[in-house]
Amino acid sequence: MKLKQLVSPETLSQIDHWITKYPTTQKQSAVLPVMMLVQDEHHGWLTNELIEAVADYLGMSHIAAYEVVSFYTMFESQPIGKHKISVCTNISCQLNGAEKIVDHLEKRCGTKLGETSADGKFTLREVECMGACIRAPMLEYNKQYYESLTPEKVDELLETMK
Amino acid sequence: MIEIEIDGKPLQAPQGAMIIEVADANNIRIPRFCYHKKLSVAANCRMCLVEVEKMPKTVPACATPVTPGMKIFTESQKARDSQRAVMEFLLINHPLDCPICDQGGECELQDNALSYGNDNSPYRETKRVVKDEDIGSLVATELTRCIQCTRCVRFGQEIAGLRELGMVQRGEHSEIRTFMKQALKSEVSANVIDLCPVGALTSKPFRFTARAWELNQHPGIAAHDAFGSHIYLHTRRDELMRVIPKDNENINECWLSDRDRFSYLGVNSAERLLSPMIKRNGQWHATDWETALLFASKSLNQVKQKYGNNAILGLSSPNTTLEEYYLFAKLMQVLDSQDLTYHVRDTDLRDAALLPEPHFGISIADIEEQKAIFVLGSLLAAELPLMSLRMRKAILGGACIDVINPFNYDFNFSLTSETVCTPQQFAQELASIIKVLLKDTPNQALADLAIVKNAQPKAYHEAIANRLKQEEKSFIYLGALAYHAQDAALLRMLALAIANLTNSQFGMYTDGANSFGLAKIHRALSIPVQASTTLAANSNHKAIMLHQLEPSLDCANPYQMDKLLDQAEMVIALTSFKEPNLLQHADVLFPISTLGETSGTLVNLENKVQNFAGCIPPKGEARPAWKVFRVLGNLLNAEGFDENSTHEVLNKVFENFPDDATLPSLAEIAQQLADAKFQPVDNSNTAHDECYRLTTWPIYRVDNLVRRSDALQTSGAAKPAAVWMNEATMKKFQLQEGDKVSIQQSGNTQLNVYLEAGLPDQVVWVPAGFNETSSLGENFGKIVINKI
Ligand code: SF4
Ligand code: FES
Ligand code: FES
Repeated sequence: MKLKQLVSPETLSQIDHWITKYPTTQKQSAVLPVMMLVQDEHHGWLTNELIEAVADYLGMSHIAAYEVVSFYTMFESQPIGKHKISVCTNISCQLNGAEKIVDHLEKRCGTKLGETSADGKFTLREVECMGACIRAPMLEYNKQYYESLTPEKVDELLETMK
Repeated sequence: MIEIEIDGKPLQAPQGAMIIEVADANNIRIPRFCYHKKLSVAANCRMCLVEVEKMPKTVPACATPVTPGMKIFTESQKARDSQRAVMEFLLINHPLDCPICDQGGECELQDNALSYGNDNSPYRETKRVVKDEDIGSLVATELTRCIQCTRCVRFGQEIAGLRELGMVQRGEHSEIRTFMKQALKSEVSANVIDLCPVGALTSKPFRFTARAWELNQHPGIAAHDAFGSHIYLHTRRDELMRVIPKDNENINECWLSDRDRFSYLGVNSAERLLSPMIKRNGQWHATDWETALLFASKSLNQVKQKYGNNAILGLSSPNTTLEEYYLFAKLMQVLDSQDLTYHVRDTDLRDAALLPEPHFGISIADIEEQKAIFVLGSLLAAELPLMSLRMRKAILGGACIDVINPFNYDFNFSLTSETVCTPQQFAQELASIIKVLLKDTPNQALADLAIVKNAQPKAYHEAIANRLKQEEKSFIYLGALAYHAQDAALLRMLALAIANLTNSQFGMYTDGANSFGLAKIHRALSIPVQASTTLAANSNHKAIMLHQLEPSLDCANPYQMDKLLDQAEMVIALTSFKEPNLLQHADVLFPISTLGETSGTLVNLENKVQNFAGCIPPKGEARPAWKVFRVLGNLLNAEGFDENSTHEVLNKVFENFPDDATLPSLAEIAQQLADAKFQPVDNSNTAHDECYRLTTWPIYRVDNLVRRSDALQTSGAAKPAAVWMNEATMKKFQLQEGDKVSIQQSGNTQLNVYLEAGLPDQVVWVPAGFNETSSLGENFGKIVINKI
C-alpha cells in the first residue's frame, strides 16, 4: 500500500514538510523524522508494510529503510506494550545504580529488560547513553527524561501510567 | 604525480590516491577485508592499518590519501602490532572451524590470519551466533562467519543498483539480512560470493562439493550473450565443478552475470543425450556413431537427390562457434541448399543488403563514457546483465538516458524519460524523432517518407533529439524487443538515420553469444541472410538439420516450426539434450559437446574474436559438433572436410574472413526506407476482444544449457510461464491474478494470469522458451484470451 493510504492527511503534510528540508535528490535524508511520525501514529511500532511504504515514499530501498528501523532503539518493528520505558544502562548510569533501577522496573512491570509484560502494559528497553549523565541514572518515557532516579521516583512515575 | 615512499621504496603516485591503491599498483601487500577496488571506501574493518611517518597512530591505508613526501611503513613493528590486534578482534566472533567451512582454502580471513595473526588467543568466552537466512537458490549463507565488511551491501547499492542485502541491528548484533527473507532478484546477485572475503556467502550449488586446492582452472568464454565475458572453468578430474569470473577490465571487469556463472549446472542434466539415437517405427534406439552417421548421410543424400536444391533446411543456435557454423554451412553447400540460418528469434531482415551484420558502434568499456543514451525496446538487465551495469555507471557519471519501451520496466538506474508504447508504434516514435531533427538538418528524402510526414513529434521527442545531438558521446541502443519486433529492420534503419543526423553511435542487441561472428560466415560464404520464419513459410523443406536448437523453445514461431517439422521426411538433430519435442520430431539424434567440452571461437559485440579450449571430456558418447559436420562431409564424399582440430577449421574460416561491414550512408538509408517493402508490417489494430502479445525470452530460458540449470530456474530472477497484464486488462476480461486462462494464437495453451502494472491496456506479455507457450504462434501479434 502507498504511504498516502496508511497515514492521516495531517501526518502526511508533516512528512512532506520534513522532506522539503533536504535537497530534492536526497529525500531519504528525512527517514528518521518520517519514521518517527509514522510510528507515533501506529501504536508505537512499525509494520513491514509501513516500512515499505515509507521507503517507497522516500525513494530508498526497503532494506535500507529497515536497517534504519533496526539500528535505532527508538524504533520498534514488533508490537510493544502500552507504555514503553527506555532505561539507560551505559557507563555513567551504571556507576550510579542503573542496575537497581532496572531490577525495580522489572519487578514492578512484571517483565524482563527487552521484553513486554504478559498483560501488554509495559515494554522495557535497554538504551545506551542518552546524554543525561549529569543526572544519572535516568530513563525515558513518552519522549520525556526522568533523571536522578530512585526506586521511589520510579514508583511515582509508574503510578501515572494507567 | 607525487613522490612518496613505501617501506623505503621511492614511488610515484597520483595525487589523491589512497595508500592501498598505490601499494596495489606496486605489488606491495597490505591486508584488507572491506576495501575492494570497485566499491566505495568503507574503512570499517581496520585490517589495512599501516604506519605513516609523523602520524601518531597507525592509519587505514584504504582511507588515507597519499601526500607529497609521505613515508609509509607496512611492515614496521607498529604496523604489525596494529594488524595483529585487528586480526585478534576479528577472530573473537569468527568460528575457528575452517575444515568444515566451504571457503576454507580460498578465504581471505584464513590467509590474513596466517600472515598477520597470532597463533593463539586469550579469548575464552562464547562467540556470537547468527541465524542463517535463505536468500535463494544461488547464494548460500552462513552468517555466523560474517565479519561485517559490508562489501555485499555496497555491491547492491553501488554496482548492481538493486539493494537487496543490508546490515541490520547494530554493534554486536549486526547481521546481514534481506528485507522480509526474500530470494535475491538481481541478475548479477552471485557476485557477492566472490566479494565476500569469508565463508558467509558462498555458492549454493557448488557448496561442499570440492575443495579449492583440488580444482584445476581453465580460462574460457561465457556463451550466453554477446558480451563474451571471460570466465574460469574449475574442474576436478573430469568434472566441471564451477564457473567464476576472470578479470577483464574491457569486458566484464571482475563481475559475471548469474546466467554465465551457473549455466554449467546444465552440463550434468539428467536429460543429457549420451549416445547417438535413431528412431525406427516410432521407437528410439541407442546406436553407435557409425550407424547413426551413415544413416543420416544417406538420408540427406536421398532428400537431395529426390527434391533438388534447397530441399534441406539448417537451423542453428546463435551460440554456435565459428568453426561449427562454418562446417555446417559447408555441409549445406554440399547438400545444394542455401537455407541455413541462426536467425531463429528475429524475424525481420529486410535490411540485410544494407546492414549485412549486426553493429555495435562503441566498445563495452566506452558505454560508461556516454553522456546521452537512448534505448528502444529493452529489458536491459535480463538481456545483457553486464551492459546494464555499464549503463548504470554512465548514469552515475551524469549521463541522460531516455527509454521507449512497451512497458514500465525497472531499470537498475533512474531514467531521464520513459515512454510506454507497443512495438507496433516503435517505428512511428523513431520517425517523430527524425522529424524533429530534420528542422535543423533538412533532408528531402527523409522528409518525404510517409512515416516521417505522418509523425507528430511531442516534447519528449524534441528532448531526446536534442540530447543526442548536443552530447558528443551519445549512443542509441536497440534492445531485444526491437530486435525481435516484426519491424526490426525498419527500426534499425530509422535508428541509423537518427544516429547519422545526431552524430551518435548505434548499437543493437543480438541473440546468443555469436550472432556477430556467424553473420561474417554468411558474408564469407555468400549465404543469403534469412529468418527462420521466412524460410519456413516459403518452402516445405523435406529434411531439417538442427544444431543445438530446440525449435519449440528457441524459435520465433514455434507453431509454424511444429508444422514444418511434422511434414519433413527427415529431421536430424545435433543436440546435447533429449528434449521431449525433439524426441517427437527428430529421426536421428547426435549427442554433442556443450560448455567446457569443446574448443571454439566466438565473436562478441565489439567484433572481438575470442577462442577457448575444452577442459573436460564430453559426457558419454558425446562429441564436438564440428567433428560431426566434418564426418558427414566425408561420408557425402565432399571435397575438404579434412580438418583435424578447431584450430585448422578456424584457419579456413580466417582465409576469407570479411572485415567489419561499413554502415550505410544517410542517402542509402533514405533510399532504402523509401522502398515499398519498408512499410511497417505490424500495424494491425487490436480488436476490442483481443490482446496484443509481447514476447521476450526470460533471462534463464534463452538456450538449451541455461534452461537445464535448476538453480537458475528456481532463482529470484527466474520468471514462470504465465501471461502478464495490467489491471485494466484484467478487469476488461474479468480476470484476477492467479486465474487460469486459455490462450489462442495459432495453437492453444492455458496459463496463469500475473499482474504487471507497467503494461499498456490490452497488451499482454507471454514469454517464450517454455513448454507451456510452445504451442503458440508468432512472438508478437494478436492473441485471444478466455477465462476458464
Ligand atoms: S556477508 Fe561477507 S561480504 Fe557481506 S558483510 Fe559479511 S563478510 Fe562482508
Ligand atoms: S550513561 Fe546514561 S545517560 Fe549517559
Ligand atoms: S580495508 Fe581498510 S579498513 Fe578495511
